[in-house]
Amino acid sequence: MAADPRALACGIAPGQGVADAQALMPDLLVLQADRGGDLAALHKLAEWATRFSPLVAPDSGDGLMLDITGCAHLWKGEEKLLADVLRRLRSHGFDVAGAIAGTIGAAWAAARFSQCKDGSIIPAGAVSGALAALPVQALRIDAATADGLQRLGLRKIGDLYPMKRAGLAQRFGTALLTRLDQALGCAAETLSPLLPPPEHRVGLGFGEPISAPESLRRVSEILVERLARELAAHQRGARALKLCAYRLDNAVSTLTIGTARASAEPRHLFHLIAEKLERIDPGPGIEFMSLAAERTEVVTALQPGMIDPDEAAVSAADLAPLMDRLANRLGAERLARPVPVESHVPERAVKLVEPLSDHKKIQWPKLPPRPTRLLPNPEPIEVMAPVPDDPPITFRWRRILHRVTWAEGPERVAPEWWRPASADANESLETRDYYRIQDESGGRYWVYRAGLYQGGKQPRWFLHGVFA
Amino acid sequence: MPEPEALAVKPNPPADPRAAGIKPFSLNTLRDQVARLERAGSAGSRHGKLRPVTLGAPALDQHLPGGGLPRAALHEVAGAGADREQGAAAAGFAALWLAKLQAAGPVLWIVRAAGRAAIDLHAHGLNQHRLDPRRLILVAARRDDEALWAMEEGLKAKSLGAVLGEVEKLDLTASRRLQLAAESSGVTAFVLRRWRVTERADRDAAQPIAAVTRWKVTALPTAHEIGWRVELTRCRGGRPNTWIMERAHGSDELHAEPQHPEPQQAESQRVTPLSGDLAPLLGGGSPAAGASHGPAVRTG
Repeated sequence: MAADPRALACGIAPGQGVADAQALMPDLLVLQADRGGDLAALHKLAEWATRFSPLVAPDSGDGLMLDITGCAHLWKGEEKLLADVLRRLRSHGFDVAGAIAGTIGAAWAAARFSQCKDGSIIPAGAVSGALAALPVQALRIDAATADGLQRLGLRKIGDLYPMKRAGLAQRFGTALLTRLDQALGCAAETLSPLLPPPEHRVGLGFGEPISAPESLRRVSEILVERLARELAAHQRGARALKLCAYRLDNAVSTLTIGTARASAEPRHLFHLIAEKLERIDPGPGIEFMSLAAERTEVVTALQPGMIDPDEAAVSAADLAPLMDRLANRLGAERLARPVPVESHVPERAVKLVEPLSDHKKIQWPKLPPRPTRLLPNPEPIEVMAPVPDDPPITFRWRRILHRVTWAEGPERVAPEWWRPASADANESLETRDYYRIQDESGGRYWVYRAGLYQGGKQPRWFLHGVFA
Repeated sequence: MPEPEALAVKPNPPADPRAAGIKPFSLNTLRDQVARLERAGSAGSRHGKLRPVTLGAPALDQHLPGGGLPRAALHEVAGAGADREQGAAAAGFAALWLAKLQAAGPVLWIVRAAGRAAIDLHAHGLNQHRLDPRRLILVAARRDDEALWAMEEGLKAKSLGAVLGEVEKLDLTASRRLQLAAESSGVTAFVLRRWRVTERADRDAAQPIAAVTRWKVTALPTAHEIGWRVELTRCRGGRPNTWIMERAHGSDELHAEPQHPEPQQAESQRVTPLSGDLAPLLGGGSPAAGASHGPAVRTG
């Protein structure tokens, strides 16, 4: 059970049973806890908090943990950063407390158990002193352990310092020692952030919230320029970018773009962002924007004028911006490059891969005549064949009757027995006899009979492709 | 110290265009001007510096003004009968041209398909029409507007050899955009008309579009690998004609038999050598020689 400040004033304590609380306060308003909702809200808040630092983790169901390493200077100091975080959260109606410390454990303890309402900052080196005065519950230990410690008279964290570690471990398990060590910085602890930290990130805050499309454009342009400069300095290029707009109402509007090749070219990156910029919903106004390169790769700069021995690399470099624009608008899954696959089954003989993947060295095999159009799914046709083992003399495809004037075949395609049976097993596990047939108007089609001819059984025919 | 001075005033060798007071970039400017003049006269050759594409079938190549298909321009290829929907013969004919253009760069082929898995273009089949699948990039476009947009984007990429888009509806405005995009980048553009409903095809195919050439390909009953009737229904600066085009299996020899004699042979002959003559002329010729050829450019 949780309680609001007025309930607390009436002597109701968090964790108390509902019946006990109602005994104290008969007209108490009891609301069912919405854990899922709380968690979702915390998640959203965590996303919002990425404006202060990219490394944010929701913590214990009621807290946020931010790794502000290297971020404080943007707010001109840790005090100002903490004050800003608290002020903003309070202005949105949250009852918050905060603290900054050198370890996760110490920050957790100070934020929850420190008396200072406006947030305390524990300077490096003062951790053990600052924690000494806090109750043992501040060590993130379970209630049973805390009770046990208190029964032994160990009420404050400082009381634990002189105790023998072996004794504590024997009595309370190693968890207590681990927590103590983590809080004091003797044991390592890492944050598991909500989102993986971007490799490179730039941000821009505004005195007055912005919402006009031109302003968004201009800001994105600045961010792209800065990020590109940073990437170039590290000789890296972005494969994925994420633009985040932090709105006045705590919501975060984001857009992501991907590139086919690592790029640190500001004009190209900005072009990709500008095309999608309308997806950023400014809502009541945006007060902070950040641009992060979520995935980067080393850029291999081709020196202009230098002839690259690998022609593929050059064309890939030239085409990357085009591929990005197409993928940005149509979706990357709409772009493809064919590569040959060693398979007898015609629909498997070509694989479509990413357009700029390096497959140029592959040789295309010489095959018997193949159609220019191959239907992704062979379509059943009604045929008339005088002899079941012969090519048809007429066939009906898509409701049109074709009279066959010429046929050539069969080309037998044996099933690939080594393939595991799948959903379309009966399709691929049958022998096919392919015929090239021509109708009286000149149209040339690739048809096949599925399965070997078995007396009495009506053979099934399919149309698989159209020749040029 | 007379030497540095002497060096400074030493004239460039006469072979250098700078000696004639021409800045290095003016050569291209001049070529562009000639190209523009040729365009004004509908001489066929779009870019002075771009040689037209030849198919390797002399009867057909020679018929085209300039001795081949102009680069940096829009061309239309359409099938006939059921192929207006299937686009198989049309794809084969387009592949022949694209194969020749692949030397200039990769080919972007925008297929009408809902997604990658629905692409019905078969790379092995195109390979047999000499189009190298290794220099082929496919894009699936669901609708005409997507295909046209993708074509225009592709035409901006100068490193491409050609762009082909499978399009159902195409009006004058949209085709003009493509033509202009092709002109400004030098990339050759093809639209492969592919109708969902063949009834509409007859009406649509007659609509004027801003293509430099328009082709109609009909598959003929034949045992050869290629057997088409190829109709050039419109040709800027040239005349329509029809050929029977054939190629035997395993052969590289493309044979085109014109169906109509060429009454305007003399005219197309007159146009052909023009750009060829101009190239050496612009390379190092005197202004006087250029002037003497000036009127020829305009009349051609």
